[in-house]
Amino acid sequence: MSDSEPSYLDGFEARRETQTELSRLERLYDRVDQKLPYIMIAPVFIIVVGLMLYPAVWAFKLSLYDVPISNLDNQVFVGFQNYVEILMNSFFYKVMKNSVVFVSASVVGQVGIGVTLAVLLDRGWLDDRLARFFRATYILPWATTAVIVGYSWQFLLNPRVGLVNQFLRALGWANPPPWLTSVQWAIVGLIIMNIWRGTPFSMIFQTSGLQSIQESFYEAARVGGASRLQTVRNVTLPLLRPFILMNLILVTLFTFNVFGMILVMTGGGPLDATNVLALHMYQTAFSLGNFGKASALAVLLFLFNLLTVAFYLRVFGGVDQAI
Amino acid sequence: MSMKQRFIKARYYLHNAARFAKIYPEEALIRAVVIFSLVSMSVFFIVPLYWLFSAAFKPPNSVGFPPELVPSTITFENLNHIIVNTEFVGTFLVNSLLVAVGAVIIVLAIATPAGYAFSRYEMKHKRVLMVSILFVQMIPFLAMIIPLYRIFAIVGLLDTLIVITLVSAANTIPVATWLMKGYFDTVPDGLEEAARVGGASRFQAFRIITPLAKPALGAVAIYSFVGAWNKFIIPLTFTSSKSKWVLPVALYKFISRRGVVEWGLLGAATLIAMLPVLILFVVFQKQFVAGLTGAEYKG
Repeated sequence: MSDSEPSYLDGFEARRETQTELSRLERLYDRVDQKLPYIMIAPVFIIVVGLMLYPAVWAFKLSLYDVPISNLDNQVFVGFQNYVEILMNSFFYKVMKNSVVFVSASVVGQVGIGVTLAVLLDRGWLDDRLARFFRATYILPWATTAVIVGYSWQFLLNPRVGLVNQFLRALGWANPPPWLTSVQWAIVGLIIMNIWRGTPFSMIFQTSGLQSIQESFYEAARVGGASRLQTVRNVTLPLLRPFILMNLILVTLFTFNVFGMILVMTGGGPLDATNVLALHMYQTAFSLGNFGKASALAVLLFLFNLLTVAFYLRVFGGVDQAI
Repeated sequence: MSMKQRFIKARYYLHNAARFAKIYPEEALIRAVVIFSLVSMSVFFIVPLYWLFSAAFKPPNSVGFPPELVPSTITFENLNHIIVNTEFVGTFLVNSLLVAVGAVIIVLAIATPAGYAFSRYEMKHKRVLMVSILFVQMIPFLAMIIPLYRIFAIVGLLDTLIVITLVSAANTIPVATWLMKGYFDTVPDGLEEAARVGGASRFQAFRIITPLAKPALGAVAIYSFVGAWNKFIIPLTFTSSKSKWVLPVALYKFISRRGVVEWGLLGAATLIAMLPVLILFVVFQKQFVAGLTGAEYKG
């Protein structure tokens, strides 16, 4: 038994003295019980290491090999050749550009709207019942599977039967864009869809952030005679900063990996105008069967994730802010 | 409340609002803008799903031009067709339920004791261990998918529901563990202390305290259920035969097989696929919100 444990958990001293009289089974039970905390956390680590960490390390190893689809065991070590091939190909940069546009627009929209909604629903703007009602109506997109998200927006953006263009025509836009079949507009449609999907997450995240702000700060602002807008600007937003930073990091990581909805909506087209890095990687692996190159793309994806996190931490200040 | 009383109440409300606006014009303007933007956001969030689901109740050839916001005639033909003539309910819904329930059981069985241990006991490197399980989640899932595919192919588990259940559960366990830990932190340890002094083992103490964590258990259950229910890429990659499809995969194949989109049938199929989530949403609203982000019960 380690000394660092709280004393009450050490059990009953008298019981240990009588241990000699315990049967073997009871002693075994006792011994297991003493190690219980470690037994309790072990399954988490078995799963995390076995199903997440080990595969990730293996993916890095695979990225250094040429893996022919015909015979997966016939792997040839090629060093960084997969990476060189990817980086030399102009297609990669096209996909990268799409990814950056898609991710940055989604993140800005999603976190921006999410923070705004959370603040508006938080304190005193509306009565509590109404706020709860609104919050409930905002939550569903986050609980919808990627396929349904894709279909519902495909339906909405459909030039013939869709609601969006009907609405735009009613507003006086005679020739609204054809959205998903247009090279310029398809990615805009995807961004709107992704913002729709992800905003509820940001909103709830920020709501729990707002709940952590102590009432005394607001009281101080009220005593000082601050108006509502001033309170939001000088009290709420600065105190929400760590939550906004964490939210930006999480949403960026999510969005870099989003491609289920894109696969359903456009499949990367038209003319690869909506092909993002994650989708490109998936298709390289499971449509072209080039596992080595796909693993290299996955490693690159991971590097971009790390870079963005580092970027945010730099812009917003230290790691402590985020945790 | 009678119609007349309601009318009188509304008139008073309007009267008060008008007076308020006259005295504090700035405040009233802010309030009007806030309410207007909240309502339009509600419309933005609800309409896409409503639009697809409402197609389920429209007669097959009425989904066309111009679009109708409210179906003029309601029909159950589409729903009926999906339920009777396809395997959506008989096979895919059952598969989805098996996977989701299996994932919930695995997650609860693993994350609850782990969260408890992290909350109650001192361990070497506890902080490092806790942060590391979250960090692993930052590795993009895509990076793991190829090796996982190979591993399951070698073990011979490819194209089974077990794989989907296991991977979905693994995906939710880190956050679930943190959520449980956060909740156990808020449960006072007096009860266990009494149990331990009275001679209970650590395990018995854990069994005594777990029922007190019901709200968090509910949130974790919903989090893992919805998470597993909505998984699309995992089942799409790891299963191939039709008898192993879960709902998202079936929906995806539904369109790519038919080419021409029958929106009415698609609406009916998606409505069935979303139904369990909608039911959870209506019945367990509070836990649902908490469960979806895993942020609510933290710290």
